[in-house]
Amino acid sequence: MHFIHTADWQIGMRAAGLGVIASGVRRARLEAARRVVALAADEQASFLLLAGDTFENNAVARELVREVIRILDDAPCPVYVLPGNHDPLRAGSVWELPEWERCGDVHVFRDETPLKVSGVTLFPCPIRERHGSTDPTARIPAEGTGIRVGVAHGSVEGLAVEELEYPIPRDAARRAGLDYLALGHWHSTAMFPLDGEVRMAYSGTHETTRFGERDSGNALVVEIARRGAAPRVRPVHTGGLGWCDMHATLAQEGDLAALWKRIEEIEDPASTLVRLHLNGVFALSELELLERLRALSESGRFFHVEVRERGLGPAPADERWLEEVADPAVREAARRIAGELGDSVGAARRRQALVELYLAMHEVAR
Amino acid sequence: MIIRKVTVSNWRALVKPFEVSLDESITILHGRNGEGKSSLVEALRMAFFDRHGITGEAITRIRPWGRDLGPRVEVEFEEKGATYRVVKQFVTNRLCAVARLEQGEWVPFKEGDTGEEWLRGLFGARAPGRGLSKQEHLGLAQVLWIPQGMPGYGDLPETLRARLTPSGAETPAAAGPASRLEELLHERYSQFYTDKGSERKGADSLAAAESALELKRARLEELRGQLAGMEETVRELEDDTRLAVEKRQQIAVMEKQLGALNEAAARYQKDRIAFERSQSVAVEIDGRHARLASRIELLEEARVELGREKKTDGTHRAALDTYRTQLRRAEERLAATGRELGRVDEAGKGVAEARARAVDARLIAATNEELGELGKRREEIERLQKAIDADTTRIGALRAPERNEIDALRAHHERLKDAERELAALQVSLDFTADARVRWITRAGEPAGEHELAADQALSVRGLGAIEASIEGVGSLRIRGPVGDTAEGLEHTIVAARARLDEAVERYGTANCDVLLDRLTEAGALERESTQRRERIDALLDGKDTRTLAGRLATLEATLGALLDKHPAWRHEAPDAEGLEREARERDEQVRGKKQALELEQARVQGEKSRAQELLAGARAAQSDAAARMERLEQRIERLAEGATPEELRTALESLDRERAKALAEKQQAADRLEAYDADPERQRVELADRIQRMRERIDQLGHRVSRATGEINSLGGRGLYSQVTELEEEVEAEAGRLATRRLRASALKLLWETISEVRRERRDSIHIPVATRAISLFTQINSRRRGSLVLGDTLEVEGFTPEGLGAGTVCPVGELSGGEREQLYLALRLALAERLIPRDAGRHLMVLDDFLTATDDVRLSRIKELVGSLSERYQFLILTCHPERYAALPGAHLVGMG
Repeated sequence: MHFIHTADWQIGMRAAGLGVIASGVRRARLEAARRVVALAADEQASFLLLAGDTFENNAVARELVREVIRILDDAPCPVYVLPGNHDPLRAGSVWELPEWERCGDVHVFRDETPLKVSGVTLFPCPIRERHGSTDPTARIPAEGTGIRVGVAHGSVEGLAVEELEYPIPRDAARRAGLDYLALGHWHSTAMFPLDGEVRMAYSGTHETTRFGERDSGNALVVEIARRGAAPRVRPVHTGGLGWCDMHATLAQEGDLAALWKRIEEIEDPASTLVRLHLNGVFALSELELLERLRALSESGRFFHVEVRERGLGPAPADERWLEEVADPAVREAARRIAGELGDSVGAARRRQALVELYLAMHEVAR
Repeated sequence: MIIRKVTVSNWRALVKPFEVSLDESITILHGRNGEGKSSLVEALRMAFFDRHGITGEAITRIRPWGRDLGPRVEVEFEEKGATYRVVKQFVTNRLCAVARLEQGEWVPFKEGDTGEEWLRGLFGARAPGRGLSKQEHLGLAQVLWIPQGMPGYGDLPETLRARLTPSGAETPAAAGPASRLEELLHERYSQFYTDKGSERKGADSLAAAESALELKRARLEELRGQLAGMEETVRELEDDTRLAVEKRQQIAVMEKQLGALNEAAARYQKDRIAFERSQSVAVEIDGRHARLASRIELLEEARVELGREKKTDGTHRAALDTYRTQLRRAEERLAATGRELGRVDEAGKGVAEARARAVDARLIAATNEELGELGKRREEIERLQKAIDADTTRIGALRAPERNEIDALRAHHERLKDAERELAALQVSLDFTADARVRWITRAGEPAGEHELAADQALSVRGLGAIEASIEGVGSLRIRGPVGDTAEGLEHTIVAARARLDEAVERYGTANCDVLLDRLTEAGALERESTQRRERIDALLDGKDTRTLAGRLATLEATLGALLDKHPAWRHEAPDAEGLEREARERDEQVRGKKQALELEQARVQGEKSRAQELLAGARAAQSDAAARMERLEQRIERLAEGATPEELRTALESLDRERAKALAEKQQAADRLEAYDADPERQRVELADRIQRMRERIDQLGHRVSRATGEINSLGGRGLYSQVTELEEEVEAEAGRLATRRLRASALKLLWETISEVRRERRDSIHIPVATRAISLFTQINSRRRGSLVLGDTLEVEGFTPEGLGAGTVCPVGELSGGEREQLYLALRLALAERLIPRDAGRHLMVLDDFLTATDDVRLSRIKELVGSLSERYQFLILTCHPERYAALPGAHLVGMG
């Protein structure tokens, strides 16, 4: 018997700092959801478990909810959905949409009643509040026969999280006598082996949610041969977007060109989000290249490019270009501004002023 | 450069060749209007600055009117030690030839365009475009040559401004974009700011973007609020639902309690009725027992009191007998005392008679004494009155006026004497003795009238002030006395004084003031004596009048007569008043002592009688009260007993005691049964039923709230608030990022533009301030009355003048100065500019004043001439005027007439 374990779809989530492509990121999450359903078909899974946080919030647009219901309804196997702490089971929640009741084999865990499916007993632990400090798995009866699979949402103790919501002990599966505990809440794929066996795991989010998020964009294929047998857990990548966070400190002429080369080499740029953190100084002779970098976000080549250059400025000692300014008054003004670059107050303004002059000068020259 | 000679022909009015040699210092070229002064200047300008090949109407117009000739100009000049000649012809046979004098021969130096370029270079000028050269093409001549009617020089081109820049510095550009780069920067700056540095407004402005962003932020906050509200509503709904469930559970428990309470309440009600009944019986028996016990007690008390009253009544009766005996005895003693007093009173009558005689004797003595004293006073008063009467008579005889009238009379005497003396002085006298018989007629003087005088007869005539007379047959004469007051006035004074004195004599018998004064003194003395006497009389009368005194004397005499009639023996022998008084006193003391003793006794007995009477009355009243009380007590005993005997009453009371004990025991049993209950089960039942009811109502309320909240949540949830917030947050974030970039760019461009402007301003000031300062210094030399500072524009054109005393920001247009002041100011400015444009070692330069300074008065012109004289070492002045006399006094000037 094998099934698909997925979680934290966070449909409708905010894509912070991504500007106009945020809606694209949200669409990508729906696409990834379709891939998870497709995976269930490919794997001929007995059922699909969604371990919480299907939605970012209970107040997401109802159209999105219907879209998710349609995606799940297309699954070739039964689907069991657990309300998480982002979409808790409460009044006015997404789970009150009548469409949930109308679809064929999609089930929402509305209470803790165990459920027998394909020879497996499921022990759901639905979440009813946004925040909680109790172990959601504590009420799973420890005794029982047959393959026992728990579905819960919370923070496994020991994880480096800012706030421990719904703490789940590391030996929760053993305590509850479960063959496997399907967890949601943690966006990275994580398994918790105990005595060499993995009996509880986070599938992680099916599509990476932000820059810097590791081991995300997966779903798990879980295979359990019989009661007590060690489950075989296999991650499958379902994410469609690449998140590339690049840091570069420019120190000399040529550094910017080298960086450009690295960006050029990124595979599948149309599905990749790039964030560049630039520091250091650049020669104004490379300003054009810098402008090309900046223009990448609007080129359409990449899914998204963001250039962060708060720590970047023209090289203060490089005033050679100033000699090219024909008008002596303008040249003198530029020298004055350049002379105060070292002063941290208003430095960005002064840097930009020189850049503006430089650009104007080159435009005139053209 | 020094211009030596100019020759012009075929040039407007100057058809024939006109040649003028210029002095190297000052040349005054004068001529009438239309003689060609300005044409000469025009030719000179075109020789150096205009292309010989120029065509068009502008050039053809300089030809003499109606003549198809080629205007021609030749100029000989010195430059850096060499002598050159330029020949230019326009319109026809166009020519430009520059020759240099070498060893006495003119050798071609440059020609055509090259020549013209070289010529312009001498002035730092630049070639005009199409057409004739304009001011800005003249180089140094733009400053040094002042055309007719154009005191100002306009904008100074950059080529000239560059020559003003301090050595080592770079040429400052004029305000506004001076280069494509600057234009571009300005264009970009202008996208965000106005030229005054204010941020632009409008649909594309930063402010508009910020405003739009703020609107979105506000909307975002609103949505977040709604989302938070929805969360809150959900929490409330859950709380309400949970509460309703809890309350239903509570109701189930309470309803069970209510059933038990119903049964307990029924039992309690039954026990309570039994208790109340036993309590009522006990109370009724208790009442009856109390009432009977009270009757028996009151009856006993009344009987005891009646016995006590009867005893008291016996006591009262014994006292009454005693008091009656005491009263009778007192009355008997009072009667005996009264009789004794009667006898004493009889003896008292003889005492009164003796006392009356003694009084009369004392009265006779007093009357006699008063009579004697009053008689003496009457005699003295009569004597004093007689003296007063005599004085009055004497005073009446002493007739004299008052002191002031005497003084007036004395003045009349003086005036009379003075007038008589003066009249005597006016007296003129004439003694005449006739030699022959004459007839003398006195017309003024005494004796008046005609007097026939014989020979040797003398006649004395007197007149007052003058004598007028005539001697018949001889003539008239008039003699005048000394000049003084008129005789008539003096006579009038004399008459008046004499009349006043006569009047005094008539009234007082004399007008002698001394006599009158003596009389007045004597009368005064008599008056004083009379006054003293009257005062003595008044003292003797002691405030009364003489009649009163006489009346008193008569009364005394009558009293004395009556007393003597009463006691005839005393007419012969005066009574001994003291002896009579002593006798009366002794008898009186005897009677009085006896009577006093009797009266004391009488008072004591009277007191005893009164006490006896009071005691008797008190005893009678007490006896009467006791009788009344006894009667009331007997009536009360009868009423309380109601016909029963005391024994019967006691038996009845014992029976009631037994009944009461039984009722109390029953009541205690019922009370004990009630005590077994903690509280009233009925009340608990009602309270619990109320609580259940209230709880049901609360559940209903919660149900309504839940329904309403569910509807609200469904409605809000259906709106997808979170998605709206998310999308708007992303939008705001992107917008804020774009705006920050724009804001940084705007700020950077502002910094750039303002720094460029600041540099330009500093550079401009480094040129403008020295020029303006020097110009004002020169202007003040010419016109010391007008002081202030000069404001120059970016191209050194004059923007205005700030008069001294006004604020630095106050700029008056130059047009507001008078015509003369304007000329002087521009001349000063041109000279100041020339000083900076031409190095001191560059030799002389031509300065042309074409019909200039026409509005300047003679005083200022004189100062200008002085200035021109002092500058003639540096400049070659060519002054064109139609008023040569104005420059006649200019030292070293070379006057040349056009004619």
